[in-house]
Amino acid sequence: MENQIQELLSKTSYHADTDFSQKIWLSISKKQKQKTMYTRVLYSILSIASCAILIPVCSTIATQLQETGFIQYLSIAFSDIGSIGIFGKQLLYALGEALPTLSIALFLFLVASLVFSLKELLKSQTQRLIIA
Amino acid sequence: MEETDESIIEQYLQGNFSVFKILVEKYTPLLYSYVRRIGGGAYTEDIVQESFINAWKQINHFDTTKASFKTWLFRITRNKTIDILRKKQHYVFSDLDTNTEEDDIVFEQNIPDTQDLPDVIFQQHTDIEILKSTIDELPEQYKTVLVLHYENDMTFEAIGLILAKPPNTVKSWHRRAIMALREKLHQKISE
Repeated sequence: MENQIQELLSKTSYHADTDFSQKIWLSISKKQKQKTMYTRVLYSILSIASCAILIPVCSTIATQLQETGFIQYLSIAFSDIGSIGIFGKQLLYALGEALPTLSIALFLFLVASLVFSLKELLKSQTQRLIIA
Repeated sequence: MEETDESIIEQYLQGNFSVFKILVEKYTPLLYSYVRRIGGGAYTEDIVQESFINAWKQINHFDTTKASFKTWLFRITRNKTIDILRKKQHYVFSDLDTNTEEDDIVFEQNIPDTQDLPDVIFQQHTDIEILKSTIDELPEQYKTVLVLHYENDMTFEAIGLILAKPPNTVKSWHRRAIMALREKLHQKISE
């Protein structure tokens, strides 16, 4: 009986046009190309923006390090190694306080975003080559 | 050696997009026939295409431990068919599952032995369109069970995943489908 049902179903099965699967594939690859293009545009914008913001952030950090005396504290520490042993804790606190933490956090975030977007750009470029 | 669906998907996820074409070519005829049978009609091509696009979009969420790619794809296709046909208001998928699972088991236990289908339908002169219309007249759940089990070699467990029903319910529908098919074929022949 199982064979009979199989035979009945094969007798009555429906067949798609021969180029139908090709049509579906073309539509998917078109969407894939669009997606890859959007990804490239998005990550290009992100990497350019990260670079553009990184420049002023770097100069702000340099200025802040000068203004807060961080560099001076650091030079004291390294000019007289013995002072680290004597005033170690105080020096460490002074260095910590003089550190522009917010700007450094922003700097690290921007570097991470730049690395990530460059990595994704490279990935999408490889995918584009495969699709092509 | 033929590659498995899972290895193709793995290659796809590693960035080799062109391998998805293998899956499209492999499953298009099966999905097309299935959708036509469950009432896709003029929307069959759209439904199959949309199903593949959905599968392509969601492939990152496909979990090989839960179901095979074939089961997953048929489930997407069935849901897409229901969505599109409901939107077009051309078709109402009746819910046969008003019985409890217990009812199904009791029903299954009381089913007489399966008999052969009428021999006359396998003769050359039998009109294919009549046979097609006989199958078309079956409820959607019955057609799905028959087509997936006999045409696509799926187990009752896999069909259960597609229909979101327990395997016992699927087995029960399978029995009922055969009985209904036999009855309809007898009717058509006697007409």
